[in-house]
Amino acid sequence: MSEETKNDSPRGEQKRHFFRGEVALTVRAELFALPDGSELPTDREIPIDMLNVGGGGMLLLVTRRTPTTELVCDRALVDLSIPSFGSVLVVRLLSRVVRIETPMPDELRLALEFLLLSPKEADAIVRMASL
Amino acid sequence: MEAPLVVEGDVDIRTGDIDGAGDVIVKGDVRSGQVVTAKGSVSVSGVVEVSTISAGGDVSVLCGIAGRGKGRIRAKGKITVGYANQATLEAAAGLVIGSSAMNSTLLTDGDVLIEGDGVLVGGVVMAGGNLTARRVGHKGADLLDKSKGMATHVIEKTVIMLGLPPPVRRDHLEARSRLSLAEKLGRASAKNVQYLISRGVPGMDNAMAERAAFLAKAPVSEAFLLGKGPEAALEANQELQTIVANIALGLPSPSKHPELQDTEIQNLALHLYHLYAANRFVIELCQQEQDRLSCPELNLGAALCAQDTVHEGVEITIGFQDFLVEHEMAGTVFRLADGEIVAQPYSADTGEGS
Repeated sequence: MSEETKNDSPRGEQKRHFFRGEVALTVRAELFALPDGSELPTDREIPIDMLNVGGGGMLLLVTRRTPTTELVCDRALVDLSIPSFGSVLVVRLLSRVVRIETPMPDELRLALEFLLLSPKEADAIVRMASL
Repeated sequence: MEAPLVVEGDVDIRTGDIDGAGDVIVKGDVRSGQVVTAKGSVSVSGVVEVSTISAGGDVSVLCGIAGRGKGRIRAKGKITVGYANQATLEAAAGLVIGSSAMNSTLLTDGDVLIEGDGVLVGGVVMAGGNLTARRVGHKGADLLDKSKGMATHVIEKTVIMLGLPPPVRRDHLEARSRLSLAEKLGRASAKNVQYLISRGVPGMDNAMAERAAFLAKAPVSEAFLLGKGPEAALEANQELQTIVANIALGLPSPSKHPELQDTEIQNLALHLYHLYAANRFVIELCQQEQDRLSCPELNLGAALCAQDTVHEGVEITIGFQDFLVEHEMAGTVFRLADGEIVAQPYSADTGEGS
């Protein structure tokens, strides 16, 4: 790939980061930190369904509003655990909330970008999303 | 009550598989590739080859099972066989073997008794109760010499695990291997953290860097297992989480600022986060292991009774304690005493260790 072509894409050769695939995975999400650094509740779990995933992030659907989900805000950090990820241990991904939508009064859609991701993990996610 | 289903000869390709609504009686052998299933008990007068027997009650095989690594008998009651060679026997209510078990997997919630010659050579025993045999293990060198050029007769290691039902034991073994993997991952991340901090990380507060280096130095499993308990481990990991959060909240968006990625502080945050994640596994797994120590299925009175000899190399686990037989021992009973496995001389008079 020429240098010129690389620069045409927002992330050079990492175009695949924008690819999204719908996958049926059990994902656990926990609130990791709030942007103002305020204290987190003891129960940090966010009840979610996953809508789609790509190399750059995930779209999550929150169907049950809890005190923890009420705290989730723009730029909040979310700790994602994916048990069935081809590993004997759960894979954890740190993500940041970049967009929140409320399609229905009781629902939240959280768009997350992966913040700390090793190239190996990014490859595994892209492979998983393209299945 | 269902009348027993009687097969006058062998169960083979002519009879096909057998599925009995009550008891099943086979007056011959069960040949390779066949499956015998019964809601009640199964009784076989001959040999069971590379086949599967599954019973809602007891299973009795007069001769024995020569499973060639694939033959399997499963019973919700007791299994009684003449011998077991390269087979898997799984019984809820105990196993009785007439003469010998060789390279077999013996699984039961109850006791295992090997009568007659009482030979247990190679394979795995997982039992909730006791194991009684005459000779356990083998003289490795002798048998290995004899087995040269006869790959099918290679003797495996003899591993005996008593005091926990097989499903609980499997969970424990799996947790132990996951714990070891999590610790390995944690150690690798900790090394990376220490290396990056030793080189200096531009944009990172010195006090925070020192604290992160300190937290990477102390493996959380050791903090947990050395008696400080889960609270200390959780507290240390909570501090690690705060450091990761402090760094991560200030990181630029990977999609909006691809040119600002792969900086030293991002690499450090990634390894700190991996360390935090590995620590979480370690803490959770250590907690599960501690819960297992007080599980109701744990039978601390389980014992291995080797009436004649136990050979070197035999691996014994009772409850959660391990013991490796380092030299041949004459008639010995192995049991737990004060949280450790002790070897006591076998007494033929009492049938127990003295």
